[in-house]
Amino acid sequence: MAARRLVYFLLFISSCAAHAREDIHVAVASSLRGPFTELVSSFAAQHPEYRVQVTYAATGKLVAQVQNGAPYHLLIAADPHYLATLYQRDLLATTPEIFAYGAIALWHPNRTGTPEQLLQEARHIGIAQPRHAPYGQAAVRYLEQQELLEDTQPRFIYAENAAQVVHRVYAGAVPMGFVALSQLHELGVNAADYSLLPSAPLLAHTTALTRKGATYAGAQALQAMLWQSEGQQLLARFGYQVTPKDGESSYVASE
Amino acid sequence: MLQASDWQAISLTLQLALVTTVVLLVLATPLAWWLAFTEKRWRSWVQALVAMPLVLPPTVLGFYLLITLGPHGFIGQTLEALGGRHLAFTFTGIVIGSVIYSLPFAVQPLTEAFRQMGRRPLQIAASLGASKLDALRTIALPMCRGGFVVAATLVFAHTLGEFGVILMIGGSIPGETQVLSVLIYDHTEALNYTAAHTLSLGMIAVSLMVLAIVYGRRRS
Repeated sequence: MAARRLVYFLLFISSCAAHAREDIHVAVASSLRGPFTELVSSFAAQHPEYRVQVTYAATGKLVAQVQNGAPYHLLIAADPHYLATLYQRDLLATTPEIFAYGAIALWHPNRTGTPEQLLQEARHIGIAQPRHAPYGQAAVRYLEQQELLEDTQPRFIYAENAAQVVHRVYAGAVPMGFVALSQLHELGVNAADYSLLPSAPLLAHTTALTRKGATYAGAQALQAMLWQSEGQQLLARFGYQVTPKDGESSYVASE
Repeated sequence: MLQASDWQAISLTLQLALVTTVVLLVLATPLAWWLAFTEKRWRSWVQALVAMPLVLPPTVLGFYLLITLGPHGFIGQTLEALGGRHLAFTFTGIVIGSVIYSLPFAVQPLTEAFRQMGRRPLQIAASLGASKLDALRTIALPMCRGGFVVAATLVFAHTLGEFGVILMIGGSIPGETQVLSVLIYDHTEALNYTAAHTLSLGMIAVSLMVLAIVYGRRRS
């Protein structure tokens, strides 16, 4: 009867996942993992009645999931265009609003030189897939400006999202890669090991409630934290340029 | 060492593997029976169809499942029209995916077991007046017990290790579709190597144990 005992044991383990608290499902751009993890633990301390369930992926992937009916309450994107598209398709309950601007950086551990030199010499360059990852798109725009795209493109190693680029550079699988500045702050990377790219466009980070999260107080409270002083200080600490609520939300409308 | 979210994924993975195993044994038994004894010419086509998940990339399965089960798909739309909910990014959705993905792992050992038993014991049972159900319960099931154990353990183990189909149809929603393999992927992306190591080593140990049980049985 070992088999029966095993089944009981498995059932016991399965039932351990108690659903006492209300779940808030949030889809978050992978580059925001550092600050958002801290934001969630602070939110959890203030609102023990909710349990925040976060899914991290490339913004474009998360948006594709929402179009296919993914059950998120709150969306947090590293780009303004994707959420604008969802809004036009009537899949959002609120207009997307900007809460911070993120910068892209080139991470080149143990290598020195100007970004242009380093990019020309590198055997491989890690980049988030520009088809669905905003940081990949920003990297491509930067390379276009520098007239380096044609030269570097054959040496691209594509990753699903910015977090995966970080993972690959960190593991030494690629010598350098385009990542979010916030990720370097999260890891405490030495300033000599990365270059800021001032000519690259800043990415407007946007957030919106989905139709499912429209009247959900928990999702609203969590979203509001992004603009509260605690959230804004946290984002600033990770290298984001923060913006007060309604400061520049017209940016989204004009896109 | 393990956090609440890790336990949540472990529990979800076990639930998925258990439900998949039960559903598959129920579905695969009649199918394997038919494959073992039929003389129809299109048997080989059905057999090929059953084996398809072995050769198709999980992305192909996941892609079509997402399309059919999602809100714009045939099944998803029908469910919504009937007042239900579509199945993309749900636990039910990944159960359907797992059942299809592990189908050959249940059907093949069962077909083999039924074939080895042959028709003879059942014919004898019938000649002694046993009904079909009686013969199945008292003759076929005990004689093919090994086949059922192998099918169940293989399906269970294969579902534990499933990744691509689940990621495509389920995304990575904690508590709903974020199973262990997906969580390990997430941990590596977060550079959370300690957690990734712990869960990976656990998976390796469990898989090795399950397979050792299967092969141990086969010899005896």
